[in-house]
Amino acid sequence: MATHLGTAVQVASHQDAHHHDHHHKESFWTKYIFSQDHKTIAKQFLLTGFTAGFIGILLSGIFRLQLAYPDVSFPFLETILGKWAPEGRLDPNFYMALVTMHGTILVFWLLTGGLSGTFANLLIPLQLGARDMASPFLNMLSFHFFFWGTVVLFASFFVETGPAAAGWTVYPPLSALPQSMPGSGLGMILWIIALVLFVVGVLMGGLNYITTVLNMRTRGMSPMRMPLVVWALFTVAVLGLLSFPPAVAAFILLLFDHSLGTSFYLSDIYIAGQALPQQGGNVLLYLHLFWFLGHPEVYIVLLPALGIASELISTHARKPIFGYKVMVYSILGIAFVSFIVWAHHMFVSGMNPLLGSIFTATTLLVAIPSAMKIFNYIFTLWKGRIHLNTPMLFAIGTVSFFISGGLTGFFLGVAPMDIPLHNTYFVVGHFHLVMGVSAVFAMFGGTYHWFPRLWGRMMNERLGYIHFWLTFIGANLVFFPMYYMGFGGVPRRYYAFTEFAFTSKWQDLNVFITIAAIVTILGQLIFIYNFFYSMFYGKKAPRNPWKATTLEWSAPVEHLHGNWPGKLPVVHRWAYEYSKPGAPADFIPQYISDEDIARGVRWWEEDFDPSTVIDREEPTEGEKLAVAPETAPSPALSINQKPEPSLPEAGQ
Amino acid sequence: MTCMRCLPVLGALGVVWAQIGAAARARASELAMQQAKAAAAIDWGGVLWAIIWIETIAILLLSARLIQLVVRYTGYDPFASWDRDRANMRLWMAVGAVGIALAIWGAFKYAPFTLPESASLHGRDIDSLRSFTLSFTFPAFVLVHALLFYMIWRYYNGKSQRAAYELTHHGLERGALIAISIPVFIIAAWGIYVWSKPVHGQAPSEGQRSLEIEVVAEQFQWRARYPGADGKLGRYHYTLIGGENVLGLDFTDPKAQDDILPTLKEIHLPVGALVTIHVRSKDVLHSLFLPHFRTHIYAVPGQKNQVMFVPTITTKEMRRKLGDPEFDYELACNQLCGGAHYNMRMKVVVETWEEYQQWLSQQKPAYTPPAAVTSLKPNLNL
Amino acid sequence: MATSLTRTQVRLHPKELILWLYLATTAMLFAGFSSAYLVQRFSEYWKTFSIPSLFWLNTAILLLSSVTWHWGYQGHRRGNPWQLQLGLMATLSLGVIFLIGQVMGWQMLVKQGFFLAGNHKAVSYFYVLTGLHAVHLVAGLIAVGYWTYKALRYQVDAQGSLGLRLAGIFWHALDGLWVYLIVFLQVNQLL
Ligand code: HEM
Ligand SMILES: [Cu+2]
Ligand SMILES: [Cu+2]
Repeated sequence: MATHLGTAVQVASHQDAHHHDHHHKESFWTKYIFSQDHKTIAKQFLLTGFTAGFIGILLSGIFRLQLAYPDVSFPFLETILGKWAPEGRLDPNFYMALVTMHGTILVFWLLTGGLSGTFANLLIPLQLGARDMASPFLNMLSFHFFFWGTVVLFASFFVETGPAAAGWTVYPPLSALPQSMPGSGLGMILWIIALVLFVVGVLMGGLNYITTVLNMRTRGMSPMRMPLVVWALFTVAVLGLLSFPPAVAAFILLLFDHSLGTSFYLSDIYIAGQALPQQGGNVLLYLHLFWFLGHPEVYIVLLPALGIASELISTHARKPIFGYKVMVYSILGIAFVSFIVWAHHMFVSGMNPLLGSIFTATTLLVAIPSAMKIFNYIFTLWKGRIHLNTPMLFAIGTVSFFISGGLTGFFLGVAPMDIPLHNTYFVVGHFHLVMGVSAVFAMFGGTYHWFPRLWGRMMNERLGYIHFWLTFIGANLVFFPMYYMGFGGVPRRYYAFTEFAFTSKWQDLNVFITIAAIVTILGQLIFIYNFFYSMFYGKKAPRNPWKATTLEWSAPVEHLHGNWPGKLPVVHRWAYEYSKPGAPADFIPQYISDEDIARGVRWWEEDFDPSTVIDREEPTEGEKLAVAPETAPSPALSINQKPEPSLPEAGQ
Repeated sequence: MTCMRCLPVLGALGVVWAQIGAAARARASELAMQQAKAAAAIDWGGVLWAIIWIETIAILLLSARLIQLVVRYTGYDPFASWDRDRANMRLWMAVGAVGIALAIWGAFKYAPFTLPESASLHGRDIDSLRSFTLSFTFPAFVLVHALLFYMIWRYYNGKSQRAAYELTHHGLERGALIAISIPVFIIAAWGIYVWSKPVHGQAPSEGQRSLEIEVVAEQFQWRARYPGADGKLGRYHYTLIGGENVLGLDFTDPKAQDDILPTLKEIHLPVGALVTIHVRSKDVLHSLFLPHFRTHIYAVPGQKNQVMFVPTITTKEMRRKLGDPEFDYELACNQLCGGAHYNMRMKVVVETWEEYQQWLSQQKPAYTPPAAVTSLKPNLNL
Repeated sequence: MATSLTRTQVRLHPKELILWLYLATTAMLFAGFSSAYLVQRFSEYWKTFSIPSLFWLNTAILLLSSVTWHWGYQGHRRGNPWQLQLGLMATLSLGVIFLIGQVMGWQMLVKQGFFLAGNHKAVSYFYVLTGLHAVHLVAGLIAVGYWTYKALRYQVDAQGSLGLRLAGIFWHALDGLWVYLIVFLQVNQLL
């Protein structure tokens, strides 16, 4: 590597010319906190997302305990929660706060910010052959908004009246009236602020992702040669851009109703012994605005997860992804349809029944592209050579959960069948399997897979297997039984199932689910240990540990600012050239041309240096213009490495 | 697995820790006995448990370390001969088979716990649609998983030495498209057809009785209102709520004057009648959930919602059918409405028309007219 | 697969593309509000009110500020720093005057007894929408102010002119947004 550090930077185009020259000396702050390097920002998103997500999952452990043992006192709860668990019994209002924060954290922070933020930042520039995002500065801001959103969200645990407690959907009037529950006081305001910060962060990221994909692909990277994960991340950024702003509008109106006495959503309310003056508000308006975001949000979570699964499955089965075009069109199809299905969350809200019929039809339409994706994953495995390593296990897990969860969409998407199932544990089982666990598995798989790209080391495989099997079995045991409970009509967001005959029957199963959940949650400690241990002591990773074709593995293991030490790679083939008959290895990276093959380049060898191929390419028009005539050595190249000024080059 | 230097330190710490643990435990039990008499301010039992827990975790961690140590210094690795791919493939087969078996077993085991047959007319349509959908999704769940597991079993690295270069297969893709489209269209069409019936388009059939009642939600209880002799529910306005007038009825409306608010928290419905429930909320969103009747509608402040259904099985009959003399239909709130949301219960009784009439005649109207006016309203059903 | 060297990149500077995408999100934000407005407009509680004509005067001022911007920018393109300075300063002042005008307009509404709080939704929406526009406009003013400062110090070079152009697009977009809002709000009072 050292030799490359000494060579000149060849700036790709004038676009990134100007951010190369002010990184001469990097302090701790510019390197780790205010970094504008997309790889560092990816790490920041990953760590923040995982931290928030782990806390969110711990919260579910607490409320599961309550559901299993509604009449047992747990003194340790009082120790950690204080007044919210007097004498070890969880306060019902705080139960709702836990559920709300759990949902908010996992849906928005882990699986939107964490998932897209990490992998879009890491993969879009690296897989498309760009030096960085279109606007590294905006990218940095994106993380900082996300981060401060996180801080505000968690700060709401420490306010007198507790955090927001009206469910992650924060339906008014419950969320708008502080007198209706403690969580709707200051906690609710903080929730809205946190969400607005979060949305701003996500949108800033999204603007960058879209622009980078549209504008900064390297030579030869035509859209139909892009890896599917980039397609997914790009589509998701567009989805976010179109669906988050109306939700912000909904939240702003909610904030006005909450604190400033307007009546957008409030009408005819008599609460706490008082008739409120507000009249003529429309609650369903909020539901429409919210779910216009809320449903695309589900796919904002899911599509990157499926994109990651595509990469992992193809790479580790050593086989081109089956039906690439169908996959791309499925992504686009799902994205489009996701905008016209939102009212399936409102079948029993009292909206016009005609809408129920329309949204039944559109909702079931989503099943078609989704099923096509499933089939294509399975057909990719068909006749493959499946390496069952940790990333692959998690990818297969993603597919399995997507099947178990997706099929039950047939029940919830059809208006009449949704009547007895709406807001029951059937829904909880459904969305956890199809988007919760499925996406979490993709995120784990992606972390195991790209860990060497992020930290230059491998994660421990054996701990990976234990982690996978424990989590896979555990998550199934937790969420699959919820379907049965749903057929029993057990409502969700209940503090205890003791009050109704038709719910109290399920107590044994609830105990079982809770035990499975706690074991599963504890199992995540294995991952945390593996993650941090490998970060510092893991086996050093070779440049292309999985023998993958995509461009991110052609850049040096050490993180360089600008990603490639010399020229940008030029792309000669699509992203899935595995097991091509007649090829000398079972993979051909995208930057290898047919001439390179003829020349006898041995890219499959462990110590092969892709720069030897990449730097032979003819410069593009843009590069010819931009490369400065004097190619002075630039110490600015390295971001994760101290510059080594005393290279012994001169003496050689 | 490096970090050699920590090993001896950890080992030594382990020994020290075990010593401290033992000592602490001895001391703690000693103290616990002393304190038991002197009404302890500290829960020594709890401390004891905490210590035991911590010690267990420490011992677990240390054992893991110990195994690593042994592996490192003896060079003995019990898993070295494991074939990663074959081992994981076998695990997939085992977990897959057990998992699918469990899912099927659970379906039978928990079938008796799920809701009994629909006690309303439209609910039967919903149930048959649901059975049909289930007869597609459950086999699909098993089959698609079986396909997935088959691929793992047949093509894991080891059994399969080389992957095929297979980009796509139009026949397969088309087959998959058709295979998924058929159930989609059948279920959607059937669903839309069923949907068109329960919510709108129900009118009493020949000779069928009909009944309109109102159910009002508030934090955290339900209230029912029945029409009086005129069969009509009177006007209300939320600003009139207060004092005795819990529902805000407008008593200047004669139709409201004879409306009946049952005293017990119960709803009584006559079997076979077309029941319309007008649902409203006094404060926040609630939802009227009658699972046994497959009926569900939000209670929205400021919005007049209603549902219609025909109860078909009386409570007594259902008790007999289920062999459960305690059985009752229940009304639950199914939209988060605050802390005691889980507790918004109301009993629902379905009975014959005669029983219903008799029950109704025992209820008092909501309106107690001022003494002077009483004589003007002789037909108050008292 | 044969090597295809086709470049399908969008021929826009990335920063400009980002700006347009950002404007799309803003459009979606206001589309969200507009659809909420339209939903409530047809409820039985809807009342109309008359928008003070001052807001139309403000509209003219804001439109004028776009013209002065354009004039200044033309000057810059022709290498006339003086025209750029004048144009930018005019835009900045017109922008500030617009904001002051908005505040005065709101005060007039308050004097007429139209408050944000309450059940008169047309008024509430009016405050929310014009208020949010004002917040965006402050951001626009900061951008214009920055470029005015640079222009006054003769620091707008070839590289900087991209930023200048983007600030212009943003300013025109805010102008367009305002015209949309005032027409939308006015039409809904008339119909
Ligand atoms: C071991 C892990 C988890 C357990 C045991 C768990 C358990 C639960 C339970 C029981 C509920 C329903 C609570 C109620 O209705 O009273 C719930 C709600 C929810 N969970 Fe999880 N969950 C876990 C992980 C996740 C993940 C990974 C996601 C990511 C999508 C997620 C997202 C949600 C959401 C969105 C809700 C709805 C919150 C609401 O009703 O407002 N959960 N979880
Ligand atoms: Cu949805
Ligand atoms: Cu309720």
